[in-house]
Amino acid sequence: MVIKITDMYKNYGRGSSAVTALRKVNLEISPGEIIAIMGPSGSGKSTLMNIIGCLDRPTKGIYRFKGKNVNSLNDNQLAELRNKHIGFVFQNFNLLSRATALTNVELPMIYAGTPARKRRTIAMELLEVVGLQDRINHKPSELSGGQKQRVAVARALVNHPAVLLADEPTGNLDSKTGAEIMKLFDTLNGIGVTVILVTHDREVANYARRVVYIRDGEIVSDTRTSKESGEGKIPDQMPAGPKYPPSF
Amino acid sequence: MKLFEALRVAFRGLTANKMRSLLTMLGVILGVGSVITLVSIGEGVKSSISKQIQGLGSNLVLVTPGTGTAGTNASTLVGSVSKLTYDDALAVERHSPSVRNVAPLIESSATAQYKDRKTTLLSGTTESYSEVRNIPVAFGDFFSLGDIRGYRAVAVLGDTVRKDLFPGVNPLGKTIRVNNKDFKIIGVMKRKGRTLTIDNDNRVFIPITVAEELLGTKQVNMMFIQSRSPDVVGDAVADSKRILRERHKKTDFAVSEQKDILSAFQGIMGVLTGMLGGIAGVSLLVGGIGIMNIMLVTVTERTREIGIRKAVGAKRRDILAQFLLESVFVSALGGLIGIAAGFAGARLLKEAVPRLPTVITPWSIAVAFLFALLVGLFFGIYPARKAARLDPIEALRYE
Repeated sequence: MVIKITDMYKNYGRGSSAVTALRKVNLEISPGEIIAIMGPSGSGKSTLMNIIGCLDRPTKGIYRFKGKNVNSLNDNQLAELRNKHIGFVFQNFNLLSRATALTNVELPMIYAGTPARKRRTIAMELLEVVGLQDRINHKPSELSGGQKQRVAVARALVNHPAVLLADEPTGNLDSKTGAEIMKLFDTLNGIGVTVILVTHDREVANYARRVVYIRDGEIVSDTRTSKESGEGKIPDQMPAGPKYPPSF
Repeated sequence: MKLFEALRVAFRGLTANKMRSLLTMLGVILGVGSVITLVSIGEGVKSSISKQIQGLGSNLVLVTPGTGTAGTNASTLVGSVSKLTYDDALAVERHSPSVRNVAPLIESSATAQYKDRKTTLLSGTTESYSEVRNIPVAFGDFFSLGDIRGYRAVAVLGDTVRKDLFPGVNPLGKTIRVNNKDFKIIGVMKRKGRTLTIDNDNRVFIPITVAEELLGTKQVNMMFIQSRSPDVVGDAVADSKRILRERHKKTDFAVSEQKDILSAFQGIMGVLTGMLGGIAGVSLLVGGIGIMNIMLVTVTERTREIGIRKAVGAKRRDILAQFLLESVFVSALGGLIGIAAGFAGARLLKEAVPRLPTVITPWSIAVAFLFALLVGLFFGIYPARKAARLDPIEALRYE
């Protein structure tokens, strides 16, 4: 298991004003999976993503990442974990606006202490993988949305992460570019990268072979699909909207 | 993250907003520059006057009325009730084997007239003055013991008086009127130059006996005593004290060697220089507050960047180092430019006011630069800590 979450709760605030964002979440993700976490806004999927991404810690319950108990790690240890094992792709790209594509891709390696020359080689390689070899010295403002997201994907991959965590990766892209980015994730998954997609977009979820649906802080369904047989279609029992009752 | 990388990241952060970085730096530049310039004034005055005091010669002893250190007490400025006289001088000269010469000095402001009138300092003294003070005559002669004993109305001019009253004319043999008495000019002193604003050459020297009559006083303003050699200065001091005390029956005078005067003066100048530096240091402090202000703005502006960096693995200390290095870099570069500005300021001042000597000392550069660095570090800590403590989730969400 790369990710094992057991009876996890996340509360914000304390006492009577406390808000429970996640309740009794159980989730296991194996290496090589491509999984979509779906849910409407306010469902707690962002909170779940932050915890999976080691940006936040659970209030209660146990989160093991590659067997390591994340709850007991301090901020610096979390930073190291994110640096070495988790690649982030955000809806709004989150690139450093003043840095070139190359520097953006090099960023995680700077904090990993990779020597400059090696950093450059790896960053160039990955920019080539995402098809931006002729855009390495462009700044984000000189790149299209799709190109920006490719830079972000390349950045996410530089330290050979165990998990690629994508938060609405196509949210700011047109459907054609979005599809290209999703194909990129699909390809990466094909070579063994674990991909976690957090989305409310069913098109995106279609690329996953497993869909976890979350609502009001609880996982309401966890369905595996076979991409070969179902053509990536979301199964019928998938809760479609807020009115759909939990299927547990 | 290695230091070099951190430096590079910090440098990029600064170059991203050049105008702002420059303006922030300006505070430090002016601070360091003014510390160096102001201290250079203090040091310059100190060294130029010290040189003049040292020029007195190490075998010189100064006796003044009153009880403070010679040259530094109020009595030398406003005159004194204590009575040092020409006879005292003669007694010291006669009875101390360590004393070679004694030159008493009666000074008074007076008006000298040839064709034009000039306000000058009338100085009644003895024949040994020129030797004791080590000021030779440029031409003509200094007056002799005979002139003193014979109450002869002869005068030796300082260089300024010669220049002002006898432009292009040889003054030797001419007669000038000082306080309604005619004096025959027998010599002109060599130029001595200014001590800050005081013109040492605006003097008219006359025999002390004539001065006593003319001014109606026997009180001597000060006595210069020359010991036989630098080694017996201590004996000369002791002898002078003993002889004068015997004559006066009390200690109503002060005897000091050149080194006492020097150290007293340097003490005063040290305090003054420190004060000047301190005042300039305040501006450096203000520059530091400017750094903190801008760094706080920068941290807020770059919240999102901090979030991104943290998300991809930057630790607290990485962010801390980045912003701290930015502020230290600003203060260090500002400090370096400020040193150049200080040199330029000191030089310009010397050009503009030739009377004001400026001397740049290595310690003032070191202190100003280190203080600038410290200011950058100190005022950079709070913003950098603020940046380092940002929650990555909040920071990423920041618009």
